[in-house]
Amino acid sequence: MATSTPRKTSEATTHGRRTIAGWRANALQLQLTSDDLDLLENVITVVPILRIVVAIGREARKRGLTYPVSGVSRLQSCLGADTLILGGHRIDNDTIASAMPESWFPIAHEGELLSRVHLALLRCEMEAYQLAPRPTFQPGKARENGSSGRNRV
Amino acid sequence: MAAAVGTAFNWVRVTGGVWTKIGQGPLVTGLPLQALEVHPTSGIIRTINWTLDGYSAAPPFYQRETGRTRTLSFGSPPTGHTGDYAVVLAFAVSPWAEFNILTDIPCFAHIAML
Repeated sequence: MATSTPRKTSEATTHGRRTIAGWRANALQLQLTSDDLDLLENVITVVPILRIVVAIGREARKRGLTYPVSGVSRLQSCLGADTLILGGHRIDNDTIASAMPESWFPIAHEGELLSRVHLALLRCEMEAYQLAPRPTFQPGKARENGSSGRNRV
Repeated sequence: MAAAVGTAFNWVRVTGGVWTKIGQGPLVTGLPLQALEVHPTSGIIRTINWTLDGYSAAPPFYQRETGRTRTLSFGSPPTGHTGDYAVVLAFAVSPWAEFNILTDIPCFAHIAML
């Protein structure tokens, strides 16, 4: 039986080390080689948003992003005035600020960056989906248009 | 944390002093409640000081909970739920969420969907 005391603040257990190993935790261990690159390419196609995460991760490396990343402004300065269009997502200073709350910072290492980018992309897709116009559901109209009682796709 | 099914019994070994990811995945259960369970890896009864950070693609996007839990050690990852919840969270439905924990001693931890 556990006895718990939730607290609002804790000095002793809020400043631990943030490591790639802790971020990977119990993820399945794989010994990948360069021969597996085409396999990885295919795997990230299964979940297409991961291809965008890869593209952003490559951009971050190419632009020399260093860690920890203290806040949104650090990502914005890394991107500069550039705009990236990746898989239907527009990434610029404004969209970074709107998609990544300051509470997601600091970002300690590349793994955390990829996690936050993944969340931000999903957030944008969800919000875009919620705002998208919906077709009007007209059951009577659907019956008129159907030539038979069979479902049409 | 793949909601109700994927990691319902996915106990993660947590190294004391190191932030460790203990769950990730979509939150799709009808009841938007998640429970943290922690148990020490050694000793008989230990007190675990913990901090849990939850990141979500949906509001509230981020939530931190801290607490102290005095509980039994099983010596190995418990099987299934122990029913001893250190804290109950209330993240709403989300396409993806991640939970990271920091503890002061080694332990096993997982997030259960209620």
